[in-house]
Amino acid sequence: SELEQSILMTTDGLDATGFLEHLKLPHYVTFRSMVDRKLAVRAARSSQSTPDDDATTRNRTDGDDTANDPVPVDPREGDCA
Amino acid sequence: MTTLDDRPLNQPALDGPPGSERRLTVDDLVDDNDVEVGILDEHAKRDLRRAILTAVCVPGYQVPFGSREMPVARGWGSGGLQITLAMVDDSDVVKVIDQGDDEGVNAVNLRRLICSTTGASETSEVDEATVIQTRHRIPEDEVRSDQTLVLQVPVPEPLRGVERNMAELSRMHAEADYARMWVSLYEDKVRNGVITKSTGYPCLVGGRYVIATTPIPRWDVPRLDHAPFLSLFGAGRERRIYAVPPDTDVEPLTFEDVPFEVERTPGACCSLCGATEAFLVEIPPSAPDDDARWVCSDTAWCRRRRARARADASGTATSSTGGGQ
Repeated sequence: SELEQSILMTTDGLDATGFLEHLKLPHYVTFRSMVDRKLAVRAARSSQSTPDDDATTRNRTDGDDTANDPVPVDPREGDCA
Repeated sequence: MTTLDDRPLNQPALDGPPGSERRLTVDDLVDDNDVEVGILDEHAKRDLRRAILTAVCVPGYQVPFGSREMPVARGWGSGGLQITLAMVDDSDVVKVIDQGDDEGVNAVNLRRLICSTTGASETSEVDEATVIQTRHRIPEDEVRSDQTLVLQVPVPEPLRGVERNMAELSRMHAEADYARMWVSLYEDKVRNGVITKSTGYPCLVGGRYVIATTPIPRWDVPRLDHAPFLSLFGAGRERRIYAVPPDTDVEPLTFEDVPFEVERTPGACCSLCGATEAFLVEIPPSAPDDDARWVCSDTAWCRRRRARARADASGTATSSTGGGQ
């Protein structure tokens, strides 16, 4: 019937598999960007007692010494497509 | 398989007076106007070009278009591919990069697809290209005003995290009511201390529309501002095209006292060419004790830099001949 055909075309067609399969594409650039933001958040938090002008408001600057900590990437953040 | 009219295929066509019947052939069914049909036929190209023109005339406005079925699946760059195929002919030179890499599998296959179906030539140098299709990076080299940048966009809607309702979204764009976006940025800043949007930073184009810069890193966002080149953004799955014309204001949404930061890791330099002024990506350490290595994301740029360094080195080594590069 038509409903079955349209469901099959929606769920099985070439169109349908794009969003999950895109995770197979490389994401180096997006990951680096996200990690950089996480480190900036950590730097802002660690310098919260002092005015955090130096760590966060200088353009093209990101300083953090805790680079060895594992950085959990927030799955809700951004779209790493 | 349907015929163009209701006549079944095995009935003879009556083209002239009765008695001069001949069989209906496939040639009768094929449109004669399409000579050398590639992947997109002329109607598809017309639809795309009209959408592109509308997008260029209204910078930042997401123009809906009829996204065709492409040999690449949705979510793999079909929008950018459609824009490129609508624009390119055999006099063009095409460069395709995937996160800065010319040699990635997807970039190679897209380039091969474009060039074999349109007759364009391919290159990996920004200098020689007329159309540069890219996924999530802007090339480090200077892109000139006679070149076009085509970006592949996964999610064209910058307000996606803020609003779900499509009618409300179109109202917000139409009335330039981006208050919810500003509030979400403010909450982000207050909660985290910095604005944590990493890639795809929302930008105001021409002072009117807010666009989602595709997941290009923040590093590349200043490149869009008053760029000499035209940028076309194609989202095939979402069926939208938007554009940033040359020399247009593109300012990232940020507060007056919160300057826009780009990615920077002090002390990181490319392990192949030693650059610090390009966008670097990290290669995770293979052993737990090793350091992470950094490499330039734009491989063509890195390669040229290394070739130039080698030429300089050989030039100074053979100083007896004089006159280095």
